[in-house]
Amino acid sequence: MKKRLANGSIKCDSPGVDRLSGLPDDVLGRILGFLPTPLAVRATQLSRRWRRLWPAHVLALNLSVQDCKNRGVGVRFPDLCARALARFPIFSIPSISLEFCTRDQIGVGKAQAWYAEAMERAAGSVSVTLLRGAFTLALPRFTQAEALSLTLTHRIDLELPAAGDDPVHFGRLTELVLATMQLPAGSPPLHEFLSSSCPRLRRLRLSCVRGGEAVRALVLRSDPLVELDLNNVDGMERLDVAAPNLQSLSVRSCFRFPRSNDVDEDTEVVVSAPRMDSVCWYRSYPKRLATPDGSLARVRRLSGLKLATLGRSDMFDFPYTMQLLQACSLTTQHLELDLVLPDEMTLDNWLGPEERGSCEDLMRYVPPLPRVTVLSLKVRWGVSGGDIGPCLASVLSRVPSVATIHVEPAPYCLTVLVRENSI
Amino acid sequence: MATREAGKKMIMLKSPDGMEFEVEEAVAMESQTIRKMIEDDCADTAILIPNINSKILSRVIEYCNKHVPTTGATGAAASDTVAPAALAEDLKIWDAEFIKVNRATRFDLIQAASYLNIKGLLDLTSQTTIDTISDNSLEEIRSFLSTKNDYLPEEEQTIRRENQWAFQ
Repeated sequence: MKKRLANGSIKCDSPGVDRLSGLPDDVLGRILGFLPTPLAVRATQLSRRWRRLWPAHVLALNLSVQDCKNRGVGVRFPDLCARALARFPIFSIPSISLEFCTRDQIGVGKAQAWYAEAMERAAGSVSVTLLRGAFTLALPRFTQAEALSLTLTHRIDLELPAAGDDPVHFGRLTELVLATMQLPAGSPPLHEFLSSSCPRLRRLRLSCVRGGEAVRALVLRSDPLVELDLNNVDGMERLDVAAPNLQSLSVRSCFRFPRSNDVDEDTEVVVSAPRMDSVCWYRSYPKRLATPDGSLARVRRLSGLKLATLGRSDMFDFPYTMQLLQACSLTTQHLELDLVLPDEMTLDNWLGPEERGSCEDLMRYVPPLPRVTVLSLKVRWGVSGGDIGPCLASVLSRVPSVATIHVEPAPYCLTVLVRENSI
Repeated sequence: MATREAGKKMIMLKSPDGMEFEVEEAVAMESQTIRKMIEDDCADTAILIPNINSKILSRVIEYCNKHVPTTGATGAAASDTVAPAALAEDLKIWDAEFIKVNRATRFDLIQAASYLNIKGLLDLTSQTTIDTISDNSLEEIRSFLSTKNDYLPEEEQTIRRENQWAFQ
């Protein structure tokens, strides 16, 4: 696209015509909206044409502490935030992105102040990232934002607004992402907040959320919800979703393995979603997995499932993998599987040396999958390798309609090998 | 390419250089501008797209074709469907390939996306343009964009002072 020549000048592929400046104000403003705010401001120095763009035509504020790198030199981040907010020409800000930390020059008090102002003025999408520091972020009681994404740091608390005299209202919110955070002890259950305050929520993503009480049970009764993505939600015991418009469900690493002799861990998932189109389930199943009302009858895309080729049909997640495969066998068109080929050592670990007799070929349980057209396999094998051919043949014999196959080999004992070598 | 099913309404798009493109209505309606024309019944037979030549228009249609939400057997309205995460990942890879074009074509695409009001395409083309503005000094950007510094020296001083809050 461009080449920097030895003398520092830049060679262009079509010199002479300033095409970019010829675009309408709002288009140029939109382009500047993707830049960090200081750089968008700087662009006004290019020429008169560019001067009128900021702030009149830029609808986004992008403020990151990473743009104020000079320690003690240059603008301080709290000042940058305060001034940028003050200069924004209209009260409601269509897009805000904040990235900050609470060490060095940034006091918690100041951060709280403009975080609160930003939340108050946010009207479209808001993205807040806390890079590090000691800070408890509180959700406001009210926001006009339509999409809200909060990414904190491990062990940093997010305070949910408590039900009180003031109504809590996120009336326009359609998308909520909460990532890498802790909901402190005494938080109201997350689902209570969601159901009472976010009536229009369509997409919910929780990723690496530790919450104890707040996420122990997630009970969602929602008409608008179309997408639910739960990834590493720690301590969840019950997920109960009834959402007539839910189309995509992804649950990854949210439940510990059920142990039959453990009465304390009674984990359960009930999903009632008759329009579900896509299911991703990766590791760690609950003790009971129920999908009433034909919730899986229309699933066309199934992913995340791990399938061991040898072992016992009642061990680990095999029964659940089969449950999902069977329930979706007649409708799935797009299937992604982790195919695990255990070696002798792994089988000894899984079954114990005495139980090796109970080892069986698990591939024979895989049901016919007549409508699968795209098959993605991640094949994982142990130290001594494995006989991949028969397993692949076995899978392929179940998918007569397949048109595209992706196979990705991924040895699973790599880390063990590295450790052995280093001793 | 998906086979065209009976019953899907088709729309004819015409470029000023005389090429005609027959596309599904749902694909054409990725453009808010065309959607409005269709909804206002201004589009009986064919829609002339001014200022966008056939080369660019065909690329825009290619983009819309890829990004039109697949309508499931459930008969959901196109705008209500959500691409699952993996599908979104595929799209991202496709987008990255799609935007590997020279600068002139990219500007044409920006202009087309702006006129046709296709948010996704506008975002994609804008995002690939900002590295031009972000990585270089003002002088370099000016030379790169062939923009002349038309400020008087004192104006330049004023503006630098005005902008100081963002830098120093």
